[in-house]
Amino acid sequence: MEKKFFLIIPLFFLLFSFLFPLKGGSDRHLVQESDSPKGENPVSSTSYVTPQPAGMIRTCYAAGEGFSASGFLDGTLIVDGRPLENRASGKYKTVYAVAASDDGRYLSVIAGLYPRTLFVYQKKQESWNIFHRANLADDVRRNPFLAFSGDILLYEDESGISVFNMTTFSHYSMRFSGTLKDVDYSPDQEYVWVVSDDEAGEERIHMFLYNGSLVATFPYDGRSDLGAMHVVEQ
Amino acid sequence: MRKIILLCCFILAAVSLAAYDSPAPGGKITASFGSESKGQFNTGIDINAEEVFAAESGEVLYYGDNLVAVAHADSILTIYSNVAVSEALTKDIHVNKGQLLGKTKEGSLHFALYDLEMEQYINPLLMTDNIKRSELPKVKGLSYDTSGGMLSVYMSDRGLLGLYKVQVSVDGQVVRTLGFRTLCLKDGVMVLDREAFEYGTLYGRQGAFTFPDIQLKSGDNSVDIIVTDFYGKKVVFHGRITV
Repeated sequence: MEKKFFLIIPLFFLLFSFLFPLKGGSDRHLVQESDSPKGENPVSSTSYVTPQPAGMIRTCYAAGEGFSASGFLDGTLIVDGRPLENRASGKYKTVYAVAASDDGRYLSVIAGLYPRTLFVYQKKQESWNIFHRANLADDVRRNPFLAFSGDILLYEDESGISVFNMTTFSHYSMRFSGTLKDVDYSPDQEYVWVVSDDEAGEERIHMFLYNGSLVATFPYDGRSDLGAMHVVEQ
Repeated sequence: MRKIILLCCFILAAVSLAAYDSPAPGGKITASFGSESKGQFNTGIDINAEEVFAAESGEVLYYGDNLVAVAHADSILTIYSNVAVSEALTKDIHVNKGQLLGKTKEGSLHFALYDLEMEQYINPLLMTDNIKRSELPKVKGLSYDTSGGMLSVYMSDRGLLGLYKVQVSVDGQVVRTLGFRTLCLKDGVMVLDREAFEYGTLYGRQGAFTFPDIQLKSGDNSVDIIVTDFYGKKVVFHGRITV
């Protein structure tokens, strides 16, 4: 009898702790603790809604011809001041990057985890329809590189930089060693420059064609401006 | 075998009762949840700190220029703002409780807890141990509007500063109690047990909490205001209102 009693107590304690986790006194279900003495009610107030939204933390922003887009930590996606459904399917819907095409026809979003997904939306009659989607690796937790160059989308993925041509639906990858530090590209859709650094901290520039072919790679002194190289190439 | 089961039961129970740690041990709170922050509710607490540590083990959900968000098993996000992120954090997405996340940029950490399930900010003090408050809440004074029976309690700093409970007694009888245990921020308003308060309502004019429908008798009324913080420390304000 005594042994059973000692077994029941911790089991009861365990069940109770799972049913009513204290977590430092928190109550996540908003049942107010009865602080009032009997017969007394806490002061009540009329409900109000302030004009501002919740103000969750914004993680990324982009503007295109005639519209702007913002992504938020909680997965909220605001396009032109209105919420656009975040189609990320995993538990976390954080928006990591948004990009807008110059002509205002395309919007790209990288959102979610498990899977982390790239979406390309196309604007048709004032609504945004999904035009393309692809799952990406889940290991990047910062703002990844994502940009339009005309009708070409450049984005960072596990293999380096990927290129998606929305007219031809062709897809290319730019592979390089080291960690991605910076990216620039020529608007004539000819060259892409990628700066990466290796484990020793040495930075290198990799020069690619838009079709993924590596043209040259050389050490980067950290002082040259990729934008300046861009001008020289033009 | 039975001893092993018992041991497992105790370990599991202890784990389920564990609270979040302070992200800045020893740091003092300079602004509390729900207090004024540029004309809006403060979504978390501000703590004086140089180094920032993970309040709980979890997975880095996002890091940016001055912000780290860590996701935890219970659908809570801990958000650390004004932080220069540690280089190590950019290489490993899993963090352990107490692990260094980075250093504050201006000696002040903004620490927030966001509940993904409930879609709202919650007061970090409700879930965090070992955070010390810098000062007790203070009551500056009282006013009474006879037409509406409205008693206003003026606080010193127009902020909640770790406030847990405000109790009003008239002539020794408790007439109102306002508890902030479940105060949270949702859709831009503070929500307390299904009641929503906009900024001006929660703080009232000149930072006062207002208690409607309190009937005072003609003549002198002895009014006591007892303000309690999250750690049970009390400030008692004695006032006299003549109607």
